[in-house]
Amino acid sequence: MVTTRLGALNTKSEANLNEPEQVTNEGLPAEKPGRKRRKPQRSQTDDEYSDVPAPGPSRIPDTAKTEQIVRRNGKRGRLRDMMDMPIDIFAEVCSHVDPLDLRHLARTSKRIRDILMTNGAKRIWMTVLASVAGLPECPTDLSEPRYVRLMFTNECDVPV
Amino acid sequence: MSAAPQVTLESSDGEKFKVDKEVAERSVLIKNMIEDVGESDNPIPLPNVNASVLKKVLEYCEHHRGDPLPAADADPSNDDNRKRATEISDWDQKFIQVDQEMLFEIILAANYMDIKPLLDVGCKTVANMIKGKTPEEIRKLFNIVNDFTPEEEAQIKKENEWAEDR
Repeated sequence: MVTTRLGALNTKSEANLNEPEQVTNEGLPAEKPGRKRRKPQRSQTDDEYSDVPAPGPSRIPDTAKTEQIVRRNGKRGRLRDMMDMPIDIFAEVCSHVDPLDLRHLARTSKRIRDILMTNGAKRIWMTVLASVAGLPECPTDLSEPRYVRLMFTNECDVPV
Repeated sequence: MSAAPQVTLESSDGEKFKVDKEVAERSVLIKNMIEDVGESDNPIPLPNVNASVLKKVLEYCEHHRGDPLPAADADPSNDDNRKRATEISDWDQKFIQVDQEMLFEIILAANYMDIKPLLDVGCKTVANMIKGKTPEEIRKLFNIVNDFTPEEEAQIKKENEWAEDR
């Protein structure tokens, strides 16, 4: 059973992420009756992960979220839960995308970038690169993300 | 098959499902539980899986009851990961055509119940949703809030090194 949450890896960005709604226990959505949108109510600090990162311009207004939940009849799952899954499931998903998709994923948010752009994610990048038939191995003097940029984009790779 | 041994599973919301042992044992978790405690008439509780998800998971297990079990000692980093998303079978594709909430819950249940092939189908399905999308399209799909400032966004486009190297 995997309980590590994506957010747990990101201690440095977690401080402003800790909105205690959408808390799950054990990484699984227990559908308890009467489980509604929580008021700030702390349960398992480790497991807590906000559904929305730091406030940004495109943040969904609270009322809209509430409506959505009501419409969902108390069901926990929402689209963003996809990105709030245990880390190894996230890694598994990532290992099935194409190199350019991984690059795009790493640019979606700070949290996801922090996960994908660390050495710990090297294995994911290697898996994804290995799935491209005929692609030469990543040269040892290039990081995998840089190699993806070199091979799959038409951007100039001259360091500035 | 009338004499096939059966087991009862109990979902988090108390619903009981009586299924053939062979079907239930597609789940390594349940297989191990049965091995550990021996066969009994007591229902096996699955406190992390609700009835609607369990029903769906058992539908999968029923369909795949005869499949060879994946070898436990196979290195998942090799062959399994190489199987690309296009390789979801027709039946599985149809099976996994559910709303995203259900998809997410099936993935979590497959992870919890240790049903690797189902977890694989789920992850590949999500991966397929991501494929070919721009960062903005991925954000929309998963409701990810873009917390980069425009300056940061311009900067990360150029950054392609591991975070530790920064």
